[in-house]
Amino acid sequence: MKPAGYLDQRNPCIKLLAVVLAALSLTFIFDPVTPAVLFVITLAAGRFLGGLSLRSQIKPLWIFVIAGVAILLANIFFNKENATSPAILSLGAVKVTGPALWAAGTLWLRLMSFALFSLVFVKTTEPQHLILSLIHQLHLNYRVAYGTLVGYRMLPTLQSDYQTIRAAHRVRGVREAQGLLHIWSRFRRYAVPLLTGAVRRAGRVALAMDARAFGALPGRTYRERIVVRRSDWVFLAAVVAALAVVVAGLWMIGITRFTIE
Amino acid sequence: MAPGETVLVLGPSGSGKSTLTLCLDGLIPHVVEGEYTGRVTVAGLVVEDGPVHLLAQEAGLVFQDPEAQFCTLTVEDEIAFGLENLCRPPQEIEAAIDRSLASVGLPGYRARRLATLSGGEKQRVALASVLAMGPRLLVLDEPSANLDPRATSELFGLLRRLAAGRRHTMVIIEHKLDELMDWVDSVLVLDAEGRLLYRGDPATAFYEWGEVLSGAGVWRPETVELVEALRRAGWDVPGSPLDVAGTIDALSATPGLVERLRSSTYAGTDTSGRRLRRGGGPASGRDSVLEARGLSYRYRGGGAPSEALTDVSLSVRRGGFLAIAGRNGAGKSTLASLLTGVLEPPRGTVFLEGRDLTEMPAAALSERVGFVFQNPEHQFVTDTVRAELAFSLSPRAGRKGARQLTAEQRSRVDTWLDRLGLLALAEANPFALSQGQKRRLSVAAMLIRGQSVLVLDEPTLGQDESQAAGLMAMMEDFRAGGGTVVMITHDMRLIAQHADELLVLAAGRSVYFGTPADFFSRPGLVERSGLAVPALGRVSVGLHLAEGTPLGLLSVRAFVGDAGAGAAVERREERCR
Repeated sequence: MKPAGYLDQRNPCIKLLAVVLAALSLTFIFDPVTPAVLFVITLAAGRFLGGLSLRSQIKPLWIFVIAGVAILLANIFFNKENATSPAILSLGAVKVTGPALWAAGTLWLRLMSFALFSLVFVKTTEPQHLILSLIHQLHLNYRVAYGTLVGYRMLPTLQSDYQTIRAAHRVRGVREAQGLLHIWSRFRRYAVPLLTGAVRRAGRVALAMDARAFGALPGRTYRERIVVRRSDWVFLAAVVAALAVVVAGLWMIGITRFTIE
Repeated sequence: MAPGETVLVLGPSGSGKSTLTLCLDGLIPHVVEGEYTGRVTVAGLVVEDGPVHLLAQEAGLVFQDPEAQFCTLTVEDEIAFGLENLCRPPQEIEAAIDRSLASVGLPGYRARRLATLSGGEKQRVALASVLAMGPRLLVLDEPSANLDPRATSELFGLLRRLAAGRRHTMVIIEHKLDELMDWVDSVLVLDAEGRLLYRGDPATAFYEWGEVLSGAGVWRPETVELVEALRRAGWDVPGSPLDVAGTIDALSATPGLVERLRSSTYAGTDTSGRRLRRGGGPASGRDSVLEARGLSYRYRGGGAPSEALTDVSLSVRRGGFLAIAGRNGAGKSTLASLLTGVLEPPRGTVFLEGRDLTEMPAAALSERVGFVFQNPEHQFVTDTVRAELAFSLSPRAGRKGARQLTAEQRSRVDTWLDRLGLLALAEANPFALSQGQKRRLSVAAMLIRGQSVLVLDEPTLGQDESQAAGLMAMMEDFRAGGGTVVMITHDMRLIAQHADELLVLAAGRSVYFGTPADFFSRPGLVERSGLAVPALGRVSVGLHLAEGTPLGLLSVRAFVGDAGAGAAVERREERCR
């Protein structure tokens, strides 16, 4: 396990609020540079304040790189500015225009930033602390919160069950149909044994929790109280300030744009 | 039940043992709905009136699967969970965490993540999290079912100390009786309909009610089976011993028995009841059906750099029974997957009937080797029992109905349905069957195609006595027809009774390959590999040390075979002459 860094010690709800604020402000910005700058800043924060290696931050994002290609293609073919703008590059009948690249870059970098914000949040947050923080700061019903935690616990089991069931079916001589058309038949084939197992396990956990007086009294105590310290507010203020400085700074030198035009 | 008493609950599966445990804790009737009559009182609290939080303090439940009773991520949070629910102040909770961890022998485990613990450690944390609430009644529902032999004996050692402390009344459901016999005060037996069959001391239960218990599908200690078998053979075994030490004493005191065993015809090292194959040793090249040579395997990706298997060699002859044993995580399931082609073995390491597995087409392979997974439900691919069998013969028929089968195939399905006792349930959904029926159906779906090798991954897990016996009978039939069995199991008793070869894995390496009898007569090796000598093996060793009888008598059959007919029978025969 990695050592707890500055980000790990921040209150989970405050950290979540910071992520939401950053993501929200990006939705009003329509240029590729601003999200790119925020991406780099987050990367650095993850590295130096969260103890996350660059590799561990970038590698999980590969799926969004693929999404980027899709966004680019969609803009090359369907961006409505294409008809009126001059081509930067022409490949036969296909012309690549400036607005298409601009829009694709904006969307893609915004997506990458959202993904990275979430990734850094998840990797620096202990799930149990998030749950406790939701109970203590946002006054989420503790029954709901613990239910969520138990569900989270079951995910790895479901995954390994899925692998086992696939192997077991292959041994029976089931030839797995490939391709998109067969997603439904695959889903149906594995859903029944997976769900049977999950429902049974969920029932058992529920009994085990009831047996230990879960929900028997109106309230409960907590061994560990997640609190909001002054340093958490300082962190939030710093995030807001950084956002403001970046956006305002880039806007003043004419980079940040708040409209599509 | 008197305060401080330890009660063992027995009964075939479906007899209501688990239901009983839920009644003791107030989950029935407070949480689980149903029709409830009668009255349960725990520590002076009438369960149906008592508030659940008071009941939860008085009665603590430990379940079979540790994973299915945890609801947090770390050891300390898990132990705190119950106390937090009872609104105890944090300082008190912190103290209780340390206290209960110490009492289960896991000091220093506070901050550990549950996911990094072994099965045995998880079960002890589950026990600690219940003990932290200070219950006077402890209810344990097959706590060792998912544990390997070492972890089981560690858990039982812990429970034995708790029982001896007499501070907790204990109700325990278990199949592994031989380990419990010296510390259980009384036995409670339920029949298949959930009625009380017997309640009283263990000796009376197993000796005087033995037939009834066996008839009801209840496991009996192997020591009792030995004494009864010797008596049937005419030996006058005194008393009604239950544990290993008592049985050794009783056998020593049996007139003439020790002398007979000492002078037994096949005394020495070659003393397994199932006589060693002529020539001895593992099957060599020519007559082997399945063979692995220097097999190593490493999982790709996933970040686990260590090898799952290192340089494992084995061979099984036609009609043989190879058991694979070892601690959890020793590589048993990986080996089974490689032997069946579920995982692709490296070229030139696994051979089936002399052919490299990697050179065989998938269809040819699955025609020759069947693989039975731990959970039978994972292997069901159709909606009815009949279609499940039909699918094995023709996947088309499995999907579209039995009309797609030839007359010969249809009669083969019917024969198997009859043999499984499932004719009446032919149109039922496989998921709706009982545990034992599911297990037998999953095996039958593999055997119906006439495979020559069957690999099984812990098939007797969670099966009661008659279900396990039904499965083993299927295996014996299969072998009689020339089939070869490879079985992963934690059940040392099963190995001693059925296997003729044993492969023991430890940390991915083969630490033993040979006969079970030879293995079990080397206690040091057994200990190092994290396994346990079955009860009769320990009787054999004890008797050897005390009386100089031969080692390696591992099964009832071996003992009775060596002892021959006892004095009483001989007298009777003389009279007849």
